[in-house]
Amino acid sequence: MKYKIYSLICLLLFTVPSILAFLLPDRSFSDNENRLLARKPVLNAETILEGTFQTQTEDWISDQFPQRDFWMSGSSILKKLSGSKDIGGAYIGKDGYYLEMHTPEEFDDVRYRRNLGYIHRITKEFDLPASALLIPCAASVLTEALPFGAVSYDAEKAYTIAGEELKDVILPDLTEALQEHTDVQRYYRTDHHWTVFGAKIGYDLWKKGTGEYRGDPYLFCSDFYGSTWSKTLDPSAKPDEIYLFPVSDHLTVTADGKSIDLYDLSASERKDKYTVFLGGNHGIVTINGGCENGKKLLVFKDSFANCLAPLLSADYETVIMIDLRYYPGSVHKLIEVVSPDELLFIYEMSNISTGTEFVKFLR
Amino acid sequence: MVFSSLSFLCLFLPLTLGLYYICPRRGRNTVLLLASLVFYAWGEPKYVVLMLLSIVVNYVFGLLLGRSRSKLWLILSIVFNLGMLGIFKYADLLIRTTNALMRCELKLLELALPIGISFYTFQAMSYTIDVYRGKVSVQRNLLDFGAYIAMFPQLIAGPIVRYSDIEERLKDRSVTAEDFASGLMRFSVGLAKKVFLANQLGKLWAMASGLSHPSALMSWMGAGAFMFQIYFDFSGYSDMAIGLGELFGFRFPENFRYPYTAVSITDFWRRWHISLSTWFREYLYIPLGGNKKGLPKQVLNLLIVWGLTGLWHGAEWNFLLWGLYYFVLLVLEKLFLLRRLEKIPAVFGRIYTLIAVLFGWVLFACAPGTLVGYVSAMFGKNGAVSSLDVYYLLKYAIMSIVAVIGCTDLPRRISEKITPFWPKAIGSTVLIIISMMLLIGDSYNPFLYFRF
Repeated sequence: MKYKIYSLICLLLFTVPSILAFLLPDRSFSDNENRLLARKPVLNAETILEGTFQTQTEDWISDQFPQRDFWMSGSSILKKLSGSKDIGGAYIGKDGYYLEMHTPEEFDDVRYRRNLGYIHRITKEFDLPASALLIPCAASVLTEALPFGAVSYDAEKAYTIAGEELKDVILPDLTEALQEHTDVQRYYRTDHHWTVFGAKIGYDLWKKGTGEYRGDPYLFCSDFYGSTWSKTLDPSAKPDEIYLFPVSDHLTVTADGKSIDLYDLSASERKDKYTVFLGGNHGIVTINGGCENGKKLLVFKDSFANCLAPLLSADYETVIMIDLRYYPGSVHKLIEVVSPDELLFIYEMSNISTGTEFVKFLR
Repeated sequence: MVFSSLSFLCLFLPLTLGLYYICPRRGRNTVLLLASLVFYAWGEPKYVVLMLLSIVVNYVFGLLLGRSRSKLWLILSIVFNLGMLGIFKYADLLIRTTNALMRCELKLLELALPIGISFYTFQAMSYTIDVYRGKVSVQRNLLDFGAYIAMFPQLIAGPIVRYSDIEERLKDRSVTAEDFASGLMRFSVGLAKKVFLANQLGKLWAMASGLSHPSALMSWMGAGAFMFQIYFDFSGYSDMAIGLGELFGFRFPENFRYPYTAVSITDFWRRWHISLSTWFREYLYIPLGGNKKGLPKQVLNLLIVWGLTGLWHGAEWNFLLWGLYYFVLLVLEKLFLLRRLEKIPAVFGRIYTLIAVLFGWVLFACAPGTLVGYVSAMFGKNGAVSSLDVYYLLKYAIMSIVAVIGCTDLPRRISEKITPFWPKAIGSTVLIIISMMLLIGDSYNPFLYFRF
């Protein structure tokens, strides 16, 4: 009898999930992983011969596994128990920090230089005043929060390389400044982005304290589990708070041709609450009316720049932000049409060492 | 399809077991054959044709050899089987080598290697050769014979089951509830070895071998990690195969016997991939004359066997080198080393064996172009330690300790001490749950035998 009971338990473990996955409707999106989940596979002679039915089946059963998040957390706990201090590409740091892993080996110096070269070329071609805010990743700044022995890419070295490649571009040393301000929370604990406080440090350094923006951040939400936590799904994590800079009501903001709000307050209902800033990433965002000095700033950026928008609009009547990953047009034509007074580049350093969109500066 | 996938665990296995046990006894081999063909077709549907061809041709050769045990049929059957291996596995290696040596540009065939081809052609040969030798009787039922050649539990990663091993059970077998439970336990142990130990430690090897300038410490850690990975992966597969065999009433031969506790390389090869060594001994080494025709002939025989053993593991010159490496060590042991080793405490023999095997795995795992770089890193070309090392040393410390214990017979001795059933049953259930968690939560799940 005992043999039968044990065998039955094992077989139920194997069968019940697939029966449930088959009967229950498919989930379409995983908030934690921020990706579409695989749906039921298509069965016909063609898909079988091509092998797509087979791979789709494996993806489907894995993605639609009942209580998938429970199993994934279990896998995280197992890895933590087995001594691992990083899961899914994020360090489990001290004080509740989850920091994106960018090892020195992964930091591609060659591509980093090449991408900086594209940036440099565009500033030379149009002969415009240009600045670059090259942001170090959290693990390169918050070294005291890293697990023992863990390393990140050398942000000082990356800054030195940038100095060589970006001649005549204003290049504040963000790493040093961010490292010094130990009194404020510069990065989210559970997300790879910098906070408004970190961004303010960058802004002040760039403007040498003469920036026009005045205002103290206020609390938006305190239940934010960000992207680095999602890599680990560590059940013991505490959520982050998101603060926002107060903004004037006179701003008009458009994103890819549609009118939007600078802060998308509905983000509090979503998993990725960082999308409160500009409602996420867009190809082109235009912000008008923050001040009346007629100055135009053209920003090329990744998502780190999203929270800086209110500050920039205090100094420039028109701020145009371009995310080359989502912007299909020609950069040259854009600069000719906009004819900005200044160019600004805002990127996290490892994004420059891995990004493939920088070649679009040639177009 | 591989055992360590959710589509196998949650779809294929329950469905196959269900159909198998619903079906009346005389149809069960057919269920097994059909299920095996689906299993095989999962990865590369087109090569099912090859599998069917191998089944039919070897079946016919069996009938012919049964009628007259003529050497002609035997030779033709061997030519057919080795010819299949030659075309699908070794042709491109030969063409590439010819092109390099003769500076010509023959076109490569660029055929994908049919998974498990080395396993099932060796199984088929064990049948025709043994029919010729009169050791087994002719299988007249094509479906039963097909079930043997294609049998999914040992299809893609062994053990190499000789026809004589399962001849009787192919005809008639029964499974008690106790057999079934013991099969599931064996399977759960194998699954956990693969998913928990091999996959996790495999990441360290993948990382270390991917570095452009690994330190000496890191490259030793990486080599050690590969040593664990290949053992737990391969022996895990064998455990799963043996366990699955039990679920369907078969008894497959053991394939691993704690190889990393061996006291010499000779001993190691009696414990590692036993079914392959047995096959080569039965069907190559002994027919060549083995050790019966004087030392020079024996050394030559060993050279042939180990060269081919190397190439069996992959159509690449580093595998030949790996085989010859063991040939040299085994000959040295036969000449004098074994006698010396017997005179000193066994611990020295164990250390020597582990180090020799470790370098063997480096030969095995490094593509020809990367070997020199990796070995010189092990000897400190890029410095003794780097800033990365401490972190990874700590990260894998616990796993490595578990792995070391897992390489010994300690877990088995403990489980034999525990006589009541339930602790073991609960342990096995936990292993299954752990493995499923890692299969869902971790994307790293490589298949190491795509070259075999």
